[in-house]
Amino acid sequence: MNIGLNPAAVCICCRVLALRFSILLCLLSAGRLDTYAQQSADLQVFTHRSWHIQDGLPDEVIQAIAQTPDHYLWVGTSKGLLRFDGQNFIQFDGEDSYLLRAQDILSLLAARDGSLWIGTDGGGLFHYANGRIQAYSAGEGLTYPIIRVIFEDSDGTIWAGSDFGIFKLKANRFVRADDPVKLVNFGAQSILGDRDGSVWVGGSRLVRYQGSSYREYKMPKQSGALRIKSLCQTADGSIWVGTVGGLYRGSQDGEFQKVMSVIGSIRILEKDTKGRLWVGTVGNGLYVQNESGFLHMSAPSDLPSNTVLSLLYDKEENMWVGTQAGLLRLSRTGMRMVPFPDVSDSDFGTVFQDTDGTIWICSTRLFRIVHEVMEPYTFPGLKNVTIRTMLRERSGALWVGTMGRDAYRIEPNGRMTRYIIGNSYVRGFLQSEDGSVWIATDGGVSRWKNGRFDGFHMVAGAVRMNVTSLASGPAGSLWIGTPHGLRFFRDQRFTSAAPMDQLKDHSVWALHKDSSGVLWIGTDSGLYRWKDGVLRHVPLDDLWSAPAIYSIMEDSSHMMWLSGPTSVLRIRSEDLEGLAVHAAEPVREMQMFPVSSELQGAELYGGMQPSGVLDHHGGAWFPTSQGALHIIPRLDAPPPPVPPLEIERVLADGRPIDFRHAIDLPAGSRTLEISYAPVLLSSQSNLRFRHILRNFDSSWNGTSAERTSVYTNLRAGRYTLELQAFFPGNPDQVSSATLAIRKQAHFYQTKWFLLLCAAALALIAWLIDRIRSNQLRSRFSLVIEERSRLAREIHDSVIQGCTGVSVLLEAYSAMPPHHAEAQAQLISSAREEIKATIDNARDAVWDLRHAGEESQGFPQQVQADVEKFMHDSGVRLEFSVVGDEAPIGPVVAREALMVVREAVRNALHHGQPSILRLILRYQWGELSISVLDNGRGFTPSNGDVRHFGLIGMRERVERLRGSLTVQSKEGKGSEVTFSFPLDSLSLEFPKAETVQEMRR
Amino acid sequence: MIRILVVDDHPIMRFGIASIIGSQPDMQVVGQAGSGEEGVDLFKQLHPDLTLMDLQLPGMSGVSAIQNIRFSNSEAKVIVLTTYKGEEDIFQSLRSGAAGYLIKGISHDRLVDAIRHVYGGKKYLPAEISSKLTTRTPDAILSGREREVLALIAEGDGNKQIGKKLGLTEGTVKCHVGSILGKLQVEDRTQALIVALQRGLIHL
Repeated sequence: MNIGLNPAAVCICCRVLALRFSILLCLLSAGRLDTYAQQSADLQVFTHRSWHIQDGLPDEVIQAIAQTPDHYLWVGTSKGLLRFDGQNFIQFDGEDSYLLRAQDILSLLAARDGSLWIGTDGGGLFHYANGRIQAYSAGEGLTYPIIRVIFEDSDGTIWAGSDFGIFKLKANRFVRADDPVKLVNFGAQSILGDRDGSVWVGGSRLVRYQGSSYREYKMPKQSGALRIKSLCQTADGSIWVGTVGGLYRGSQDGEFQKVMSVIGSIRILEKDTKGRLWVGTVGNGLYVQNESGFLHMSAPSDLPSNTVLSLLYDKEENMWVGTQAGLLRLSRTGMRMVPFPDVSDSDFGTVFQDTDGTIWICSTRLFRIVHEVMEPYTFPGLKNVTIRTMLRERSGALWVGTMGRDAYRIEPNGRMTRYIIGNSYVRGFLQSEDGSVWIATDGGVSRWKNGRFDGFHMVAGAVRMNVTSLASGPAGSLWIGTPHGLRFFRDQRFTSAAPMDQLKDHSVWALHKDSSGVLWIGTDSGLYRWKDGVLRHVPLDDLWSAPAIYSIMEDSSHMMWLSGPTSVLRIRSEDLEGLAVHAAEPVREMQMFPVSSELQGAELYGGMQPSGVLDHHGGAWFPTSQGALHIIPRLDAPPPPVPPLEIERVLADGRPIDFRHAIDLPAGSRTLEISYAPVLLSSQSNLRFRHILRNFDSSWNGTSAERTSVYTNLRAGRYTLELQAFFPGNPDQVSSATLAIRKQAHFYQTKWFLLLCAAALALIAWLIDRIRSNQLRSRFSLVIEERSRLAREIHDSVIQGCTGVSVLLEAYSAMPPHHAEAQAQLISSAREEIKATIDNARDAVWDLRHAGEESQGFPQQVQADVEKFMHDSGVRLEFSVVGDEAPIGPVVAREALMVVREAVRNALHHGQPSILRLILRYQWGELSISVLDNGRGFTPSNGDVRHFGLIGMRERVERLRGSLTVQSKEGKGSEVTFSFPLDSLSLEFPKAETVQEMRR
Repeated sequence: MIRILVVDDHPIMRFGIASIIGSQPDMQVVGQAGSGEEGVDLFKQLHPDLTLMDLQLPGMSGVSAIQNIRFSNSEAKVIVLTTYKGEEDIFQSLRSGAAGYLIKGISHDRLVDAIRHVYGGKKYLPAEISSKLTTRTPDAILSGREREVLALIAEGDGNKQIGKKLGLTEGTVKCHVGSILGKLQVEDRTQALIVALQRGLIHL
């Protein structure tokens, strides 16, 4: 349903003067103004950037500036020397830096050999070379300690000028170069080497040295004494002399004429590559020579202070201005701000270029720029109306969009018509190919066509929100950018193409349809390309730090201009196409204009159209918070050289470490942070960095503006960090720095340690194996021993006893019947033997159960054995040990025990005593054992069955190399005593006869 | 009258044997000894017609005593009377010159029979003894060193201790042990000991 909201178009017709702005400008512009405009334009080609204490400048009195061949800028202040890499000021901190601490630096010279000469107020002269400082004072022939100027002549000889004398360095010693007799009190303030190789010295006199001769030049009379502060020779050969009394220009014939256009006391002269002279004055600002004379720059708009103490034109074509109140850099960035005449920042802005080239700035109020000068403008009849945007129809009519006051159409004849639209806040205009004008508002779109006005606020799917951008589609259709994506209007209907849905959460700030029909879409999240029904994000992150895109333009040389909140990117459209297809495509031509960082925080505007406009000379205009930004790319300029890259700081776990050589990280360090900086005195925001840690990273990383590489938890090993700096758009030219890194291994990561571990493991395994096998073996030994013991016991007791009984019984059987007595004895012996055998067998079993008690001492063994033996006999045992117990071997102990046992058995079985006394005596290296009883006693005789026991005892004692005595009398008890030497180790009887046999 | 020397460390045994012999009208015990050395000494003094010899004796072994006796009189007639019945004991005894081999616990008839046989210049080997001898294979003859090692194994010594005691390196001892295991056709030391005890290669 198409509701053509018929324009309740109120035509307010009013006649205005034919707006021929250029003519108007001509009328308004007086000649003086024109000159002023020209002058401003010239100055505004330079972008100003200043540093003060709040920017890290330790002292604001900048007395000397020099640049060494390594690109570093050296800044001499009244409180010391600073080194500047374009980003940070570093207090001079080389070795011996204490020498320079708090020195008042008056003069600096960057010598051709790369070293730096430093002249101080009262401290003499210093030479900084190869990281070391050498001081020159009276000892080196420098008899006056206030060094006003240092100079290197064409031979490389160093000159030092003081208030009292000029010195030349010869063989590391300063010698007086002036003639103190003829040139009395010649104080030098400035030294100049001219093109002819002669040396001009200016101070209280002006003297020209040529080889060994010199000539003094007379200066025109001044009101006071002559005090030359600075000398300079410009490209035309002129010698310029800056004095306290003004600037003088010397002619070829040695005549000096005062330059009247430069006012004030001259402090410093410098020239730039264009051959222009720069003149710094005390209290009167800075003058810059141009074709017609001198331009003047002054505080506060152009300079931090009107007292300029030092000037230096660096290799990057920046002019450094050292003032009494800070350091200023004037650089050609291609950016020029035409500020709003009233200082206050605006809230919004569009920029529009009329067909005649006039630039209109719609901001808090309307301005126009004619010949680089911005002036406020008010349309007749639109007083107190805030104008947001403008459009010049191809018919010549001018559209003016207002804030809350609808849109006006001003025809070339001055007739003005107001069109009441659905939403009276206009955001932009677009004239399509058929001549109709689309009007974007805060609440939708409307169309004017041939006087007919249609508001599309009620049609199906109507856009009823801010329309932030417009672009013509095919066949009268329209692309509409909103805060919620992109809409499409065709045949009176609003639609949303499905692929566009991914933009529905994004603000579409800018639309541009290029000549091939491709739609470029600028959103708050970057650039998209709509081509052949495919929407594609164009990655710009590596090139440009701005995520939001406010405007998209394409100039006649096929360069695309993209603006964001803080910067502007100019990039070849082919490169953009390439990026859209393949993100890693290298960019061949691009320039980035860091608006905010270079222009005192100016911010670009978007959200209304036009947010940018191309001029007719390859440049572009943009609305900013501080004025109209004019970008004039230096089309002919070669790409800037990539500055050297220096490693600034290496932190291991937050602690700085020495990185002059390869760095050696301790094994325990976790975080490695390497900060680096380019030595780039111009704006650094274009520069990109990347790094790769060889042996760790597989590819380059961090192509952002980051200046720090961080690595954590590196493994032990050797690495090389490679750093590169380059300008995007010129990826082939890089400068690089490398750093060798060795991360030490934890002792437990080293090869030898691992080997050691392996060895230790092997050893442990071997030990375990040994212990196990020893255990097995000892278990085995125990088994064997036990078996052996058991076998021995059985043999000694059971088998021997049984065979004994057996032979006795056999003997009994063998006896003829008449030998009754012998038979009785045999039977008695057999009974005795079988009893003993049973006892022994029982003991053997008992021993089995109590294995381990052998560990006790021999007396205890004997006592226990005897007690056990007589436990149910009712006989009391009196046991005593005399002397110190001494160890005896197990075999000896066993033999002795058997003897004791036999003696006890005899006593118990035959004596029937009530008390048995057992005495062990250790004395004289012998053990003597006595078994006494109070029994019946006996008379030893052959026939007694006890006889065999005694024989056995005696034989055992003999084996112990001992002796046995038996004393007994009937009724008087008995005493058996045997003794044997304690050292009878030889009595370790071999248990296997076979061994004995084989040893023979 | 057959004059007999009895060598046995067990007095009861000697008493019993002497009683048996004494019961025979044509035999007489002329001496009794409790050890090998004593036995040899008495033999040299008494020149008995026959010696009854125990093998397990304190000090000099029975086999040594037999060798000594046979050395002093190659005609000496010796009968072994022992509790051992391993083939090695039998073999060693017979090789030393014993003419008879009796196991203790035999009846008095057989003992007397054996004495008469041997006294008559014959050998007396009961069937169970002679059958043992035939199982003894020459391959299984252990070298002297191997016997020493085996004896020490029986004492429960490890290779190291054995090496120390015999003045050998542990490796050499290992070598001997391997050889012993191989000759006795057994897997380990325990089996070796059991076999060695059975065969009389060692005694406990």
